Amino acid sequence: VRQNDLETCSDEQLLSLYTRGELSAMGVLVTRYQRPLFTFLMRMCSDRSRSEDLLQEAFLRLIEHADSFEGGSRLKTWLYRIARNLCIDDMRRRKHRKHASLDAERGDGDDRTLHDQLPANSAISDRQAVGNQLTGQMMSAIEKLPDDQREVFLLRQVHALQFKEIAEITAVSENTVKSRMRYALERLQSALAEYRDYAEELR
Amino acid sequence: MSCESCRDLLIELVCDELPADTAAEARAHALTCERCGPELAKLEGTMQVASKLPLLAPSPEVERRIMQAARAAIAGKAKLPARERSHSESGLASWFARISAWAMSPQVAMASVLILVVGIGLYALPIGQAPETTALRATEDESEGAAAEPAAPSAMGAATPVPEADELQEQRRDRGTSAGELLGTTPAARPRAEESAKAAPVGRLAKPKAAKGGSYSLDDRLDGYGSDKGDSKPAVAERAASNAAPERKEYQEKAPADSASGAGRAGGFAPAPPASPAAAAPMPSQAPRETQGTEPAGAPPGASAQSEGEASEASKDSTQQLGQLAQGIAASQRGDYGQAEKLLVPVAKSASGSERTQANLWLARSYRAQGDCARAVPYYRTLTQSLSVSRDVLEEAADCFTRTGNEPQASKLRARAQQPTQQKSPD
Repeated sequence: VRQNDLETCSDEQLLSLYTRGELSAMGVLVTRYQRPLFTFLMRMCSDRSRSEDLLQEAFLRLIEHADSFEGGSRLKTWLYRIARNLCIDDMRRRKHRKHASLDAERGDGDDRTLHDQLPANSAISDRQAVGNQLTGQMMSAIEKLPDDQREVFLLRQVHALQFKEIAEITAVSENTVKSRMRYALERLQSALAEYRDYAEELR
Repeated sequence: MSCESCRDLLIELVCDELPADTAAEARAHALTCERCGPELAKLEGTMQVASKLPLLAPSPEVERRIMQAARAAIAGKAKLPARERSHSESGLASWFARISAWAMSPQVAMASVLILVVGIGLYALPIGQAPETTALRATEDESEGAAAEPAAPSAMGAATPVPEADELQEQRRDRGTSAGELLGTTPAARPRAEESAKAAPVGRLAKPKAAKGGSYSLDDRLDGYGSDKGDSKPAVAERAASNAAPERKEYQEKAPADSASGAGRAGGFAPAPPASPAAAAPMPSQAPRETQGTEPAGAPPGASAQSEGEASEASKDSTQQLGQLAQGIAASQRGDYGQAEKLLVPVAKSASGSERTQANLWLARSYRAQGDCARAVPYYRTLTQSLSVSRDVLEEAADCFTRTGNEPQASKLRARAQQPTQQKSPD
């Protein structure tokens, strides 16, 4: 099967091809989901090393159970559910050690520490700089969300999953998902509002 | 569309989860609504910022390992390659991380605190809760002391590094009075001590103590108020100081070779300090905490501040003190409390050992008999610090503590009085 053809296949078709010996089908699946899944894990765990381990583990489980995937749900949902459950288990194990340090590297590819990313005292005149700061503030605010609201927000906003799919992944009702999403947006809204005021003062 | 309906749909509207016609209807309402419009704008603004969140990429090594596992699975290998850790969290680092996680867990912290509390509690337990054990230990210590001291007095005292004892002696020398002189163990002082021992006429003070080859039976020790004959344990330092005098004198008669270096020991035959329990030379095994704790809590007013001049005076006039003590006790017994106080207070201030104890006891009784428990309490407090204090004294003390409103202390003393090991009244 040609690579271009593979990239147009659905997730379920790719998995089926892989179980029939098409290794590159798995390569396409990995390319398709490794960044969104890694982003989700990073935002949930705030630790690059652990997130990479969890990402690897999620794909290994997909490989191990590829034959048993029956297609009752979408592969995307299934993969996210595996990643989410791995993440929750890991967070439970390490909960007591979760203390974000202002001087620790964030591990998200940005070498600046959280301290560096906080607004400096000097005036920021560049709108792009303000935009970057706003994004940083948003990520900081997301980290402060309760776990259940954060995962719903990330699955919806970063990964564009529908409420129904999120409900399936998180094993709660669709209305609960909507409520959590709303609460998450309201919290982020207030966090960003404070920052907007600060940014306005700098201008 | 009503405001309420619109507000319920706002979250689905900003997430593009509404059917097109419903979404259009909701937006039309929001445009004209003062409440829903701003709220929709805020939510969309937040979603817009959130949409700019970048996707993060894992290291290429992760993809390599995943594909390696996928290849192995296709190749029909029954076992997938071991899950490599992507980072250095392996081997020693991984082990250390696990240990750290365990050590920093709340459960370990709570257990540590619990152990600490129990440890401190056990350490702070008053020795008085196990009087029999203490008494038995005292017997052993005394026996050892009796055997060792005459044979090698210098080794037990001068040659034995006892910093606290040496320091005390040094201070006394600085004041112009040697420890041996104060303790009646120097040649100049010994005759006076012997004379005092022979002249002790009062009550049980006159009772001969049979020195059985330098040692005493437990029965001998338990006979009377001063039944503890020189317990070397720290908590009974005061008892050693207050009660060892008669035995010391007798022992000195039998073993005159005992040297002043014995001041470094609080054993049954070690010379007791002249007046203050706090002056008892701390033993190597003595904890300073307990040595210090005896006096401030229990010394009667004025007794602890006895000057060296008074001590010297006491040493010189011990015979006179014994006479005063006997007259004071007699006065108290016949109800002449004023006379008793006049006679006993000087003895309580300047005497040592059992003379001082007896003076304290009868002063306490005199005050109590007059209904002046406030003045009696300090003396009872000193008396009850002794482990083998008689049941009668304990009950008297408890009564006084009750009258002065210190019910907890009274309860403790009554509980002690119920213990079977408490002795009968010394008188």
